Amino acid sequence: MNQQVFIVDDDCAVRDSISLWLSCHDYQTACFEDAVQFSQQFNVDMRGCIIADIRMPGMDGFELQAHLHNIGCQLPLIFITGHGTVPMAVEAMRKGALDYLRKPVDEQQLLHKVAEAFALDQAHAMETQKFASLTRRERQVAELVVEGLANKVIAADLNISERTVEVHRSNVMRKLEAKTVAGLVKAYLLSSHAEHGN
Amino acid sequence: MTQLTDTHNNADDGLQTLFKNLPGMAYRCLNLPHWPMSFVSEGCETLCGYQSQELESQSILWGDFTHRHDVAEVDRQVRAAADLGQPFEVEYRIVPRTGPHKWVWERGRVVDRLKDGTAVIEGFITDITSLRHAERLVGEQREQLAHVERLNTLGEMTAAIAHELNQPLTAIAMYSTSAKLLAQQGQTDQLIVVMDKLAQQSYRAGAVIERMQTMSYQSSHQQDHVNPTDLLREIKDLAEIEAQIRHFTIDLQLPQYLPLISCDAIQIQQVILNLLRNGMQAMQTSACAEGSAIILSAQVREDQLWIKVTDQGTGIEEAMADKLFLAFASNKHTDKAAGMGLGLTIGKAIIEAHGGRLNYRNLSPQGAEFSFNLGIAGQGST
Repeated sequence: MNQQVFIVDDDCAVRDSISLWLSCHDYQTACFEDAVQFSQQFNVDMRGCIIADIRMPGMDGFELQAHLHNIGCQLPLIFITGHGTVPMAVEAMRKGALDYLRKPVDEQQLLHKVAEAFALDQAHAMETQKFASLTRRERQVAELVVEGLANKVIAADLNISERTVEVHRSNVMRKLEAKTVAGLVKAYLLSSHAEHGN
Repeated sequence: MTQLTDTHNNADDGLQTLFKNLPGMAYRCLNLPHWPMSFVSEGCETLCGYQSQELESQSILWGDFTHRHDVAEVDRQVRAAADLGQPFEVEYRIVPRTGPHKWVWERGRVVDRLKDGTAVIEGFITDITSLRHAERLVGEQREQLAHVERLNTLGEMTAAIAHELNQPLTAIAMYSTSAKLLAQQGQTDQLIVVMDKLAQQSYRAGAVIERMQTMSYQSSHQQDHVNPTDLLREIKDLAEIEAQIRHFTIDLQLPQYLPLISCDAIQIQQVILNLLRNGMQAMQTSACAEGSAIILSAQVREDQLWIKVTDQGTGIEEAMADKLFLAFASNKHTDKAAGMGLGLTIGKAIIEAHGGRLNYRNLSPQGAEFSFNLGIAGQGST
């Protein structure tokens, strides 16, 4: 699925103008007038990022963020708000928002953030794809390696030979493009997080 | 016979002493233009600087030094009362022989009629200049305090107003940079549409500022004839800025027609704004559902316009009820936007200065209702 910018704001003019500005830069956009409408239409195949207002009737921006997290949405989230406070910004970032922009939003900054969000989303998608290419056995091995177990212990756990564990382990390293165990752990966490989310 | 004259003289002396000690001037006059006097008591000279003989000989008439702006109105009121045979009370200015003008209060009634029907009036006139000055001073101070409170209210509404302004400003920023790109790409058709949207958004921002401005003005401290429908709609628009942020609605309930009222529009709007904001805060504190309405209504009853604000909050606690209208008493301590607790005190003073009363009652099962009355223009005393 193509990457899209999902704009969630209860103000019609704000939605429309942001959509126009991004369209002028060849982004595809979709507008939603409240968080409920967006979360109803959300599906896990959606790629791109979300731009959401914080103060909205019904479900507000933070509630949307929590809801999306619960249903495993990985789309990067950019908050825009008309009267943000520092504590609100901190809360938004702590909960994993990509950024928190104050209205009136600097249009260049918004473009940069959307580009950044798309790159992040792309990386997520690739990691997910890599993880999906692992066999069931390879996943089991990867999981135990990440837990810090030695090959001998893994072999005993899975009731296979140590040599077989070594083969699976090198396949996992290759498929997830990891050069060290630390790299494997990082790749595993990123991709499995995305995977488990789904 | 001698005895009788003595008694009469004694009575006369007593009357003279009484007149002398009066804080003003007693008189008898004819209800003719400029009121020729046939008798004035001694207080005359203190009051207007002319001697009683000057007035009694009619070398100068009372109306000659009644303030030229007031003379017609006094004449109208005295004539109206005389025709009905009722006593009258009037307040007006006179220009004494020396010094600045004075405010006087006069009460009189028809005691007799000449053969041609001309009314003979007896009455009493006293100097109320210092009272008037004091009243004006109180009025000015009330307005100064009210103005400070209005600015304070605007300060408290800053967040809501900023939000309301930032929406169109965001749209303007996005539309205008987009317009530049469209122009560079020669997409004229789309450009024209965007230009229209740009204009709409700047009007929208302008309207927000216009709504605020009313509250920032210093009142002229004058009562004008005002259309209550316009007054209520304007203040509803301003309060709505805050209602939107709290996710409440304001339900304005007006009859088809309301008569003009005589009031200081800015001050009355201030009172209503304060009541609406109090109500919304109460509704937020008691966790009213999003979209709940606070009702602003008006109706005419017994020659008075009654304006009512009904919220769905928790109502006024019994402990608060006694000191509700006292300064610095506030049951909004949980709300950061609580302000100084002066709103209701000033509101009460404003309404009372308009000759009305500010009342409240708790509603069952929940909510509070604040109401006040204002005189309809052109009725009762002018």
